[in-house]
Amino acid sequence: MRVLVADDDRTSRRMVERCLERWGYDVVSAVDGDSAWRLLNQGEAFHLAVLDWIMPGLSGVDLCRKIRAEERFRGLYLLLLTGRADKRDLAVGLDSGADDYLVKPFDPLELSSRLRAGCRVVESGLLLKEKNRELGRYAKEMEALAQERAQMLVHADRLAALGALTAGVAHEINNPAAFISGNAQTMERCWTLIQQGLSQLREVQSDSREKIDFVLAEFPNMVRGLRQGVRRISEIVDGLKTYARVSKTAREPLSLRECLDQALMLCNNRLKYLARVVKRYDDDLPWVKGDAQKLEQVIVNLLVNAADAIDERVAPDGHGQGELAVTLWRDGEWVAIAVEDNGVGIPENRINDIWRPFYTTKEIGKGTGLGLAISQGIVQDHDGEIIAENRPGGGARFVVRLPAREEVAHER
Amino acid sequence: MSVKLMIVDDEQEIRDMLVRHFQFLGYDPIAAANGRKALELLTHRRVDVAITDLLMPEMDGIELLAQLKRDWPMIQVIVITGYVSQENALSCMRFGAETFIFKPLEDLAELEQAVRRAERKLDNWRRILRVLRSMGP
Repeated sequence: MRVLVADDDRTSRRMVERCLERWGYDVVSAVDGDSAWRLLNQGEAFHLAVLDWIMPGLSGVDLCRKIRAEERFRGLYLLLLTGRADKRDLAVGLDSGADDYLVKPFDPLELSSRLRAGCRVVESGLLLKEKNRELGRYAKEMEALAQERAQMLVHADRLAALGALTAGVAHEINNPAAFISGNAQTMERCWTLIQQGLSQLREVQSDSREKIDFVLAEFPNMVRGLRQGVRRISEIVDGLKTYARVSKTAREPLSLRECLDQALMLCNNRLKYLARVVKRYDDDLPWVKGDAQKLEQVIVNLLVNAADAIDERVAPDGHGQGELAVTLWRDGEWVAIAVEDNGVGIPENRINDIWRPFYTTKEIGKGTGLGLAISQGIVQDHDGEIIAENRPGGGARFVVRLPAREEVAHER
Repeated sequence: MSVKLMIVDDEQEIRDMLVRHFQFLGYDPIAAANGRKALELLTHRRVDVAITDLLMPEMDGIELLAQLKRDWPMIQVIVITGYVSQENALSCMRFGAETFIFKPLEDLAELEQAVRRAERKLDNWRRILRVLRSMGP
């Protein structure tokens, strides 16, 4: 305990100092009120102060008032020393902010026990402060937790609503898509006839030759445009259906090694001229349980994203080489897959948005913005987790963790 | 072409599109907006192959399929739908639909093939009936 002793009377100050030192306190002395105030305001904080009432300059009572006016001295225990023994003086002293009062000449034993009482007060004050800090920390943690929980609930709510909607939406969208696509296909079939007619017309009507040539050249493109539009619409509808998880997830024992190889094979065309693919698989990996096709879909999504990211960074200037690393290892209770690329990476401020349905940074028409949302859904369905981060050297790293199923090895 | 087509869909645009497409291919299709209207048409028009949607007001495609199989067993039914569920597909199978095609019909050739398959099946039955008739009672 750090104690400040302020007394202008040398003998009395020395006595108090010696007593306190003997009792194990850490003592700093001041010869008057002003220097006591200076000491209080510099360096380490004091726990207790023993102040003489009558001093030149700032008196003990003045000091008490000044100290109590400042929030930062809140925990400081003040013991006033004085020769005045009158009841009214006692009241003035305590009202000025002192915690206790000792009349000179005092008995060292009394000083000792009064200081111990002060220490108890200081200690419980310190304890209280610590507890308060802890409580504040807990409160903050709870608040964060509550917020996270609320976000999850909102997300789950959205998912449920989306699930209920998609079946209806799919039907509603498929009908108009069908008649756009159907009409375009009939037009395509009519094209040979139209072409013949237009070619004949071109010979007779020389003044509209340019227009006719234009139609002859562009009509097939227009029809193709219509059909491509419909194809995109169908892709989005299909994606939505998967996202809403209309179909059930199978729970078969499966090897992620096979899943990965299958996915890599599916993406081979996209990857072969774009990136060097490095595979690192641990030997002797545990099984996982789930739906091989869906997990394959997750990995294909990650590979396609990696390819697009590499394409965006490496391809335009032709510098550097695309690198794609696929790693499979045992991570405690999990089997983990990492897909790493040296592409453009994820915009750091959007790293939480990437899981949101319809969020995409790809060019219009290149992505539906559902790939990662669907992937996350599938992985969570398998009691696993999927995380995304940017690599220090550039590019992105996605890690999928799925629970290892030791028991499967025995089942088989 | 001798085979008579009927197209049943509550969405006019789809009806028109399919009618146009099969007209272009040389058929002479008729169209109805739902199952009930289709059955009304059948009282005075011959139909060999029906292409029907599933979700329709008044009478849906499953009900139509069931009635056709009961009263006009020779009519071949092709189901097209934008609302794909296992239950629907199984019902169609149970009631003897020729096939089940998903909208948005991104490839009409699939539908054309189904129509031709139905035609061949009917031709085959007609041939058998002709043979039976020529053999006399």
